[in-house]
Amino acid sequence: MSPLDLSIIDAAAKLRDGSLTSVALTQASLDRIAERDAVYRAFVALDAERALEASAAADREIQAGKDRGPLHGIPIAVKDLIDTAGLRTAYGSRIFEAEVPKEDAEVVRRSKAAGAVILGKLDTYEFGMVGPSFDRPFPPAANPWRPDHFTGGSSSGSAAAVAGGLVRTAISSDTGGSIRSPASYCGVVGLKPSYGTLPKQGAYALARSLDHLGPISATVAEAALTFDVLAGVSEERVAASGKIGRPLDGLRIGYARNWFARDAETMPAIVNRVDDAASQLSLLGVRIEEVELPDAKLFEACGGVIVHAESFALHREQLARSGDLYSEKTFPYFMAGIALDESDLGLALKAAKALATELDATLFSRFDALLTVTTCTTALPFSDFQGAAARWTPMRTMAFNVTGHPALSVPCGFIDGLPVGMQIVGRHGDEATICQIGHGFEQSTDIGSVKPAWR
Amino acid sequence: MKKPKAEQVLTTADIAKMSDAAGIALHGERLVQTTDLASRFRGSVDVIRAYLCERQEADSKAEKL
Repeated sequence: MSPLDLSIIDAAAKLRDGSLTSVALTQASLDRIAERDAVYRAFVALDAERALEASAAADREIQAGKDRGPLHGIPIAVKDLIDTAGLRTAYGSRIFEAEVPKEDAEVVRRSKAAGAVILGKLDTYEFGMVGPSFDRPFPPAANPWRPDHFTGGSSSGSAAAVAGGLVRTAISSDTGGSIRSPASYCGVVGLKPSYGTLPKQGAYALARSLDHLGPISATVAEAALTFDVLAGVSEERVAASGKIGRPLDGLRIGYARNWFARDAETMPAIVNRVDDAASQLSLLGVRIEEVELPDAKLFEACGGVIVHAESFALHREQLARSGDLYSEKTFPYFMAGIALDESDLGLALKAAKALATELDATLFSRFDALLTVTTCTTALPFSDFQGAAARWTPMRTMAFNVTGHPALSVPCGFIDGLPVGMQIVGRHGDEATICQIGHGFEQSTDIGSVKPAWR
Repeated sequence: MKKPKAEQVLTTADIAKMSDAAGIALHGERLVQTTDLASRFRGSVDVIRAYLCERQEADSKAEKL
């Protein structure tokens, strides 16, 4: 058994009892990257030398009895929208192909301070906007379940790296579903925490009102632990891992079934998988009740106006200076914000606040969490994305960037060999309950134990 | 808030004028795609206005009750 098949929790125990070293774990990751990443294309920059130095330092500290916590000596990787000092950070773009930041983003600084070993940078759609694009310096990451299929995005490399067994956890970002949709398409776990929980300093902004940082991980417990390390512990915040393993009896979940099942774009088999997951949760003692949400198109309208108004403002000068260096798919998405003004943005932000209030009043006053789908289809083949125009794939993620509620994507089954994710959404600040539910579900099925085959 | 009225559909000429004013080169397929997307987002603003208007009406009725 490879040490990479160990969860972070099990690997941490072995690092402390001396049956595993961080150097061996890091070298195993580097070996697997060397073996598989020509197919997965998850990494856009590797930092092997510094990773091995950091892992040797972690071994010395652990042996000396200094314990920095659950990520101490654990190899992780970082989405390429997030700055890493001394390691190229291109934001997925030709414009920054040679950019080497001087400082770490705050989440990277925190992970290093917690003893994590940074292996390298993971593919992203250009500036986190749209993809997959074939005219960037980096070919798009491939879905380990079927490498001629896309991963979803924008955290394309993060989901590919975790699904492909290259790392157990990755630091990613999500502005409209960029953590949760690739997690769904690639059969891994994605946690978008409550808005504002993780610091965004040093992460390239797409739309500040909707940007969230969070983990993509192999299991719910590992996502929760990664988040806890990045968020820091405080008296005000309950740890996301704080309820992992508690029984689910008596929890109340509102099931937003019609919200995706009535959409003609939703694959019928996906409805069946999420129905099965709801049944499974009820067997675990959860009380499930169907609920109705405001039209998904309303949330998407709000999110779309906010993303495009804010991202155009951020990119305006760069579009004038270096517009020809943007990918053909990305450029029109940034430019389209030119037709939106401050008053449009103000209306969208006002509606976003009203929608969050509406969900709190009508749903989260009665339920501990909300269950719905993550993506309405399984991963599509790359051949569907040829041509200059971007293709938008149906999903139910943007709503919770708009409202800021925490949302977790957990694998809930397969259709023709491709994974499907369900989404568990919680009250503001309550990552712990959605992780409790996701972990309870995960432990009650064997879905998470099925891994993509390596030839 | 006033009831929303339908936004005027944007043309490539409208977008070309805006991009010229912003000093951003835009033509050909990029101009066509930008115009399509910009029109879609103007439509989104209509959807948002309608929602806010509905909420305002509902709030007014609730206050009267």
